[in-house]
Amino acid sequence: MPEKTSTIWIDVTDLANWRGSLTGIQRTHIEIAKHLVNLLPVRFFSYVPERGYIEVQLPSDDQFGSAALNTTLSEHKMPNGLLRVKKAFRELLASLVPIRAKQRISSLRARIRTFTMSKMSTQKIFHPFTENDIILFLGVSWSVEGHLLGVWDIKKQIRIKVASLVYDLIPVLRPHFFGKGFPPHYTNHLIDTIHVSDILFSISESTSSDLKWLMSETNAPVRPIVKIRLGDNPLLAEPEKPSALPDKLGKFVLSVGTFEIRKNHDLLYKTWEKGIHEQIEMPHLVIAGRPGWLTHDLEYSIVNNPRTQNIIHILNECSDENLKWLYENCEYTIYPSWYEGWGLPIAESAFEGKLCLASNTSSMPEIAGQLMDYFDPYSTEQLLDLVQRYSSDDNLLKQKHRALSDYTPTFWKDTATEVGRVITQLQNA
Amino acid sequence: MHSSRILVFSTYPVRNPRHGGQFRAEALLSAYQQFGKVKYVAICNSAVYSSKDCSKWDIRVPGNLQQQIELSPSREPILIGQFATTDAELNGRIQEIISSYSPQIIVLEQPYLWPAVKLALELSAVPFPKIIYSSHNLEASHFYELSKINELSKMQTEFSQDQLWLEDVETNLAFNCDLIIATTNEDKIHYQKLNSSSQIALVNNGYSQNSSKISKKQNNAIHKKIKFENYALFVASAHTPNVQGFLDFIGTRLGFLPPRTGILIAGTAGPVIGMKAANRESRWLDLFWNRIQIWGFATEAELQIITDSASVVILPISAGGGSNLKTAQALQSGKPVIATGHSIRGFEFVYAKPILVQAKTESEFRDELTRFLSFSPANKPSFFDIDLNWNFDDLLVALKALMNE
Repeated sequence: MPEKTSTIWIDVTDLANWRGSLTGIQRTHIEIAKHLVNLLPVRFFSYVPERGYIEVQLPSDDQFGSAALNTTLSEHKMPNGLLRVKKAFRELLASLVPIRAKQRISSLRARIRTFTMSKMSTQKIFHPFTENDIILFLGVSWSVEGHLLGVWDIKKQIRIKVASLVYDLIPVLRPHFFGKGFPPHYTNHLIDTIHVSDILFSISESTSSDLKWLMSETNAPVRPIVKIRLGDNPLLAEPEKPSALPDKLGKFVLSVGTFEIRKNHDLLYKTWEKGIHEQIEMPHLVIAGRPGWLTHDLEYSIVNNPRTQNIIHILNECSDENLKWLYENCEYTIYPSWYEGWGLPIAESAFEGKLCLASNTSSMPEIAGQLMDYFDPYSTEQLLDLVQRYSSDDNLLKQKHRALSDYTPTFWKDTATEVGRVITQLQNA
Repeated sequence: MHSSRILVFSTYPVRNPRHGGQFRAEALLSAYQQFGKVKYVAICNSAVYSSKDCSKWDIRVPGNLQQQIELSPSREPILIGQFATTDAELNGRIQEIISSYSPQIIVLEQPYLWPAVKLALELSAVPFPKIIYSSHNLEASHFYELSKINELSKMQTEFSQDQLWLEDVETNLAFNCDLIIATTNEDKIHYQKLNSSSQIALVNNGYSQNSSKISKKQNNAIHKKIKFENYALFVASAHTPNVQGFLDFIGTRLGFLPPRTGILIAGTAGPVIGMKAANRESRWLDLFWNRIQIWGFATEAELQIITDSASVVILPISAGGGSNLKTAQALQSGKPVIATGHSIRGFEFVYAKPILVQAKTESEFRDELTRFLSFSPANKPSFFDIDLNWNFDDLLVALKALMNE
């Protein structure tokens, strides 16, 4: 009896359609995919609305040397002859390795040059999947209509298995941090994801717990959840001071994160203003993050308040080089976010050997545990107390920074290995 | 006996029937008509039944009573029955109808108008006719269940007075009538225990399917309006047990329904269920609307198409007695039916058929619903053919015997 063969397919639709700087989700997506290639025989696919799922073919001279990538697949045309793309996805992945150095991608779609089409399903969904294949969703699958549910339709026709990575449930839990239409769309998408998936990956214990809550609250089917730990992203760039900062910037603390309402920069502003009001000597605060949403009034206040305008610096444009410099030269960092699926700046801070004062909610305490200090994101008093303590006691700060040498970074290879282990189990189940 | 005059009293008209009670009363008319001339008089709520719904014999109750009905809708037939007895003008009109028609048989569709009719008979000079009690349900116990659901018991005084009044009226009618028409075998046994000397005929609810001719254009338009690829159909009025049953067995957190599927609710239950969901939920309301389609009132053509296109018909009824006409309608559709114990009362003969799945608990109901909705459109379960036309054999024998007495 011939051995059962199955293919592991990684969805790259989000990457193929993305134009602009990479988000945290996309970086995670790429890192896991990139390492899985070396661990398992994986293939890639992309969804084209109203046409179907097409295989993204990789070139034979792939630098990662995966046997799977060297297979020569014949080039197929879409039946309507409209789609014929010839280049490789691997090139795209390779180009993204220096993560922050080359974040700008003018058109990822243009880089994907080889597409193949396998067959047409009875429901007129074109797809390359066959019995027992595994589909892995690692990125954003909610932005293109039909993307996820097409797989649901295929799943009703042939026996395939699906695994999906869930980053967070924040639009469900805190809908007020988003534009009005997005939370219901995202909630429905998550419910669909639970139905479509045989197994779910989550990026933190907090997200796992939120997923369990969602299943129970909405009467959705219960699916197994496997927590994976995300890899740390080393900043490989050469440090360069941001030009927007004053020449003579004294001691400063750093807060990294998109300038959006969920990140709770409001707490930083109020804490600094309170400190100044109470005549406490406050350090400079550098907020590094691209502009987000629902924070215009706050930015106006910070910039126009005579008490804060010279002590709080908002850097909307920040390169990897700038970020490296900021991490190297800051006293410590602060991450006052209301809610996270993970909390990348905390991990970055730990990796750079800098203390992070972080919110005590959701996933944030999971990242570096007792190596960091935490505060209630509602409390200016708690944060002010910590700022005062660490700004006035150099020894205490040094002690904390010494302890951070115990921080064990996670490598993306380890993250991908865990994903691969679970996928292999699923494959053999 | 074909010259007999039969007078039927009811609290709803039968022109343009919409709910089960109307359909049953309308169907029974055809049986009565085999024995003579039949006049049907409804004393009904003018807020619910327009003049177009009523014949020239029907009496729509005045505004002051409507106000009372609006305050507690579930008391509607009781309030109408009491008003028809105590309001001299209205009772006078009933007397006039009886006197002018001089019926040999009076049929009471449900017991509510019995005190008014009895009073009118006593005050009229006509010979006392034979009385048929056409029972649709065990009304007093049904009222008790509804009161519990609606928390009417909080209005303790009114509740217990109504309860006592209805028990008294129902028992009195069952004792004093010449023939009882029961809806289920269970009801029949109840009446036999109550009045062993009374004749009792069993008429299970049935459904006469009218296949209306639908143009291609109309067909396409209706299909276009259907939101889901795979859906469960719930056809129901806003009657409390329908709404409560939906909330009990399906609920408003619909995450268990597979993607691209949902529940289509036709009939007046839809808006009420939507309103209840809005009151219950805030976080999951969008999920609810993602999986629900409120159709509203469905025309014959619409009903035919939405039934034909459904994957499964659901009857999540958690309270009430008698039997449901919508059950007959659902079973007649040939679609698989997921039902509760309540909703299949009176259709025990269908138990063994694979068409009917009985769900005892909320989770069983949801599991079955999910199972039927998980079939791909190409693999939907096949149709079943069950004859559920009205069967009046038992009634016709009883009526013949009554006429010959």
